[in-house]
Amino acid sequence: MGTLNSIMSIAGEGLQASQASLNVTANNISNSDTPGYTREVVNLTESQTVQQGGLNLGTGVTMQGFTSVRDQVLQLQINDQMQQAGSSLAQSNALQQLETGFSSASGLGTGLTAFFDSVSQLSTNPASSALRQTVMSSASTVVNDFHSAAISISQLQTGLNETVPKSVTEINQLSTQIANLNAQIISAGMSGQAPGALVDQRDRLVSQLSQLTSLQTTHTPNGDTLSTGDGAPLVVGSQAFALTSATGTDGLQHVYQGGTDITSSLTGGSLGGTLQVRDGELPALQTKLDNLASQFTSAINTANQAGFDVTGLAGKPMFTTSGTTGAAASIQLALTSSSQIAASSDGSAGSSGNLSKLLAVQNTALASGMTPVDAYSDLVYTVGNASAQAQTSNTATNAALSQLQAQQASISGVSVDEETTNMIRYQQSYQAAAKVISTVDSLYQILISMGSTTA
Amino acid sequence: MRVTSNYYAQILNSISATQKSEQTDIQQLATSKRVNRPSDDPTAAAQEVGNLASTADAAQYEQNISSAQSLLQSASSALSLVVTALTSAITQGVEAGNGTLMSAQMTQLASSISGVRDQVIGLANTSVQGVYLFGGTASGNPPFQLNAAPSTGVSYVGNSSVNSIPVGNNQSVQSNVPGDQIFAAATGNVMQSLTDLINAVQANSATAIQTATAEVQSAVSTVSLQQQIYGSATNQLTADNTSLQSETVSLKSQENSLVGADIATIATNLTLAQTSQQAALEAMAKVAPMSLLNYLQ
Repeated sequence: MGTLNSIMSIAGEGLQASQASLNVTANNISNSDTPGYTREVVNLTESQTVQQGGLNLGTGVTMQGFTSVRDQVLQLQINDQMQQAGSSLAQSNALQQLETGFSSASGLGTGLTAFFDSVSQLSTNPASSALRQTVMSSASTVVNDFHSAAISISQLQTGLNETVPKSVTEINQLSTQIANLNAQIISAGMSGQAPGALVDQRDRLVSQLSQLTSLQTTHTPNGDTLSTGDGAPLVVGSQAFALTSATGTDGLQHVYQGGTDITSSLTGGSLGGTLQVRDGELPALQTKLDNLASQFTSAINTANQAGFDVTGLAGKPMFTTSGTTGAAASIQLALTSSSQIAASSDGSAGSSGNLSKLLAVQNTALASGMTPVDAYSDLVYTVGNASAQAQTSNTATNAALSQLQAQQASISGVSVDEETTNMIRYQQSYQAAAKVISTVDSLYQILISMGSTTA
Repeated sequence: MRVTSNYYAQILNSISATQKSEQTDIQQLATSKRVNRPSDDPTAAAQEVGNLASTADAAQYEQNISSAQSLLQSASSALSLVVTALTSAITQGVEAGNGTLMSAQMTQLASSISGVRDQVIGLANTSVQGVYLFGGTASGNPPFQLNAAPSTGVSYVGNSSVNSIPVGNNQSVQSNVPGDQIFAAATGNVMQSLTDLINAVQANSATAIQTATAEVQSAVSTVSLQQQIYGSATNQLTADNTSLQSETVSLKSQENSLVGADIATIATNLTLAQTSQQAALEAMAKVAPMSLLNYLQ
């Protein structure tokens, strides 16, 4: 049979267990709104029974510590989505900026049409200096439109390029912090402490890192191992490997890991999205725009050179560009006076015969297979489509992400109602255990006063 | 499934999603356009580029047509006056040829016909905004000048070239008829016939006067024939203008169906968005204050 002493100690353990449970509940409630906090639960087990007189007697409850309730696979999925969300957001932000430079209702499209229309108008009175001046000014509008389209691409490229070293610095800071936390988690584990708070911190940092770059996470007994998309290590155990950035031969910032250029393998996170737009969409657009500028220039120049100007001299090139690469940025009006517009086909000032050659450029396919306006329309489509795709992908990943986060909150989040219920339970079990102690105490009193005379 | 206070985040998400869709709707209502940036509908935005170009071209063609019409009308009315002048020359030629006039009257008639020739030269040198209509493409200077040297008595310094004005895609109209074709044609040469008539009246030769009068008559039909060219070109332009106007209307309606906003649909969407936002807000207001703690006193 159990003794009063053993009952007392069982009730004592009960008090301790309830206190520890209340402690966890208080911690959960306090952190119910802390970002990245994972709720904890108390691990209680029944104490070893003792055999007495053929009976197995319970000896109370043992508090074995607390565990954070987390789902590591879910966390990995969230980090995956965060890479995609970061990448698509960076792409969508960048491409939306570009869209304003490639509008359907303004810019190069209307500029080119206005140029051809001014040439068409000159046909009504080829000697008129007012109409010639209109052609000159619409030609310089075309030049400006090419320039501003080229600038909108190159400025965006420069802007994106400048963010690369900043992202690399951020990545390195996060890697270092994660490596430190890995070390602390391992040593906490060895000294038997629950590393819940440290793991929460590390998971938060890994999530932040996922928003920045492609990331592969492997859980190992020595802490998380993190590497970029193609396996270049960022964190191995307690060691962080810094990325570096430097200007490459193309004048753009490249990312290196231990001397290896890993720029093209970075696709996830905001850095990946930035690099994709900088090295993919923008150069492709730039090439299309340059081709348009140089092909337009050569077609118009050929046409103008086929005719004669107001004074009967052979026509000169109307525009100049410096080569095909960079043609859009370098295109200039070569004519210095409106009298040099070669409207005449027979050398007399009143002839408009050659204007039809200039006008023909409007509806003739350039070397690209498209007319000038169609080529611009193709640019509008390319920009719009890339931007729309990035937006759609961002919306989709965000939806997936918020689903996953809801799932994670359902597993790891704190429910205040649940904690309140627990609090009442633990309060009552604490009260009950205390009652046991006071009952045992009164039993002792009875025992001690047995045999003595009562007053 | 455990439910945690994450529903705050979900309600916030749904509120911001409906706000975003409201913003889009309001922008579409404000601009009356469904496609406000290329990414709204890349295909439509790309087609809009071509559509706007065609619309601008059509507007320019209409303007070109009106310029061409004014050139053609000026030329045509000049030619009408030439016909009137030539007709008066014929009358005077017939008068001179009936053989009843005194030599003083003949001299008077000769100088009167010479005046008619001056008038015709003046009309042949008609200019609109500095452009001489009958000079071919050498239209910067008066193409006809009195000159005693050639037998025609008038020299032509213009050329035989023509200009054309674009009035549609790959469509253009001839905007001038060179002066030599009208006033110095192989048959019915206006200037030659007038000079011959003046010379014949001055010489008082009945046969020469008769021949010359017939020449002037033939010149009248030449000029009338050329005038018809202007007339039919003007008619063609009027037809072109009508078709351009209907093209502009159909381009406008294409533009509208490409990128225009369907106001009724958007207004409905906006109402739906407002309703769902209101629902989310009400849900938030009802759910948020709920807590077990309220019931434990």
